[in-house]
Amino acid sequence: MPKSITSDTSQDAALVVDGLSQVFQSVTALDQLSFEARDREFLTIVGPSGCGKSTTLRLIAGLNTPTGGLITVHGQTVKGPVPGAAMVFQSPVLLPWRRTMDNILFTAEMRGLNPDTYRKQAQVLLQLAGLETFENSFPHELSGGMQQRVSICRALLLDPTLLLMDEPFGALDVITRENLGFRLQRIWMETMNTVVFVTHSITEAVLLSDRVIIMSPRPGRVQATIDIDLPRPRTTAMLQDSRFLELSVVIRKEMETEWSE
Amino acid sequence: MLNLRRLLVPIIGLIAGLAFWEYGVAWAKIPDYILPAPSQFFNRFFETLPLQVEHLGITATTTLLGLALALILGVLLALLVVYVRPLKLLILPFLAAFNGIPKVAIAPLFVIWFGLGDEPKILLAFLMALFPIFVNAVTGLNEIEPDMINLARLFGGSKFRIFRKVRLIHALPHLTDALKVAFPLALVGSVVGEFIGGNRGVGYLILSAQFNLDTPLVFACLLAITIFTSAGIGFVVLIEELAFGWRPSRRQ
Repeated sequence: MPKSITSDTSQDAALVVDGLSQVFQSVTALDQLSFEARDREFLTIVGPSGCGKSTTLRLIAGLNTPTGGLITVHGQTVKGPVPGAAMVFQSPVLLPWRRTMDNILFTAEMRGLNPDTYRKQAQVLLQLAGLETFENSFPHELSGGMQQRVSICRALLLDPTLLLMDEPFGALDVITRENLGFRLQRIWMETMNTVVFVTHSITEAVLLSDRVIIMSPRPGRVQATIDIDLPRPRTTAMLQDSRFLELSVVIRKEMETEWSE
Repeated sequence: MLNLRRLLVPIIGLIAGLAFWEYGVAWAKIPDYILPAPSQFFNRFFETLPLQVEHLGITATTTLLGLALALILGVLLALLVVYVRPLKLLILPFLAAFNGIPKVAIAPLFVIWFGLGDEPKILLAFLMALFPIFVNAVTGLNEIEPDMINLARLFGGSKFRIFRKVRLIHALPHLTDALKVAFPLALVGSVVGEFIGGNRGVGYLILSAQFNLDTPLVFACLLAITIFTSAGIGFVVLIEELAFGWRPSRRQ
C-alpha cells in the first residue's frame, strides 16, 4: 500500500498521473501509478532499476501511449507529444554535425519557429550553463558533462512548462554530477519550470528536490512521498547538514524496505 | 609531418614494387605477351593515349550514368522501406533474393533485350551499384538514437521536418561510404557489358588487345581504369573530408 509520509496537496497541479498502467507484452511495468506535481515544483522520482521510472517519464511526455490510466498536464489530457514539455535523457543525444548553438536552436526549428529569434535566449542559457565560450564547438569537442549541459540548454530554449529529466547526470562522475546539480538548481531558480527528475542517487534527490517520490520495484507503484524542507539555494555545505542526512536516511530506509520485500 | 609520411610510405612501396616487377621479369626472361614489364605497358599507355581517353570516356559515361541511377533509385527504395511499413515487408525479401543472382550472369539477357548500344552497360552498372547503395541508405536513415527522434517529436517536429533535419543528414555519410563500394562495382558492370557486346569502351579495347595478344595494351587499359577509379573514389573521399568532419570515424 502506498503510504504518504507528508500531506499531499493537489492544489494547482501542473501534472496529474492517475492510475497509470503499462504492460509490455506480458510484463507489467507500471501498475496503477498515481502522483501529482505542483506548479513550479521540483519533483524527483527514485527507485530501483527497472521499476518503470523512464517508462513513466516517456508516458508523461506523450511519446508512448499507456495501457491504462490518465495523464494530465496543465489540465490537458496527454494524447501525443506534449507541446509545453521538454526532455533531457541520460545520454545527451546531440546532433553530431551541429555546433553547440545550432544544437540548442534545434528545438525552435522543430517547432517551425525562426531559429534566429532565439539566438539571444540561447546565449543567456549558455551563460547560465557556463558554456558561453563553446558556442561554436561541435559535440565531439566537448566533455560528457558539457554535452549534457548543452542538452539541458536545448530543452530550456522555449521555456517549457514541464521539464522531464531522465537520469540526466547518470553517466557522469560524482564531482561533475554534483557540479551540474548545483548549476541545474540555479537554472531552475531562474526559470522556475515544473521539473520531474528521475535519478538513482539519493544525494542528488535530496539536494535538488522539493519532494521525492520513491517507487517500488516492478510493477512500479508509489511507495512513499517525502517532502524536502531544506532552504534554497542548497549548497555543498548542506551535504553535511543534519537535516540533509536525516532525509537521506529516510529515503534509504524506504528503498531498503522495498528491496527486502 | 604525419601527412608527409602518409604520402611517402605508399609511394616508396609502389616504386619498390614496380622496380621488382621490372627487373624480375627481365631476370626470369618472361615474354612480354605473358607479363609485360611496367616500362612496356607505360609506353604502350602513352602511345595509345588518344585511344585510351576515347574508350575510357565511353566506359566512364555508362558507369557514372548507372551509378547515378542506382543512387536515385536506391535512396527512393530506402525511403519507401523506412517510411512505408507494408512495403518494407514486400520489398526486402525480393531485393535480398535478387541480390543473390550474379548480375553479370544476366548480361546476355540485356543484349537480347537492348542490343549492343549503351543501354545494357548502363543497366548492368546500375544493378551492380544498386544494392550497396540501398542497404547503406536504409542504415543511414534508420540507425539513429531512438531518443534523438523522440526528442524531435516532443519538440513538435513533423515527420518531414525530422526527415530533412535529422535522418537525411545522418544518412549522407552512409551514402558516400556506399559510393566508395558501388563505384567500382558499377565499373565492373560497364566493362562486362562491353565484353559481351559492342565495339567501344575500355572493355572492348581490352578484348581486342587480347585477340592480338597485345598484353602490354591490356595492362595499359587496366592502368587507365585504375586511374579512373582512383580519381572517382578520391573525389568521394574529398567530399567526406570537407563535409563530414563531425563523423566519429574521421576524428583522431
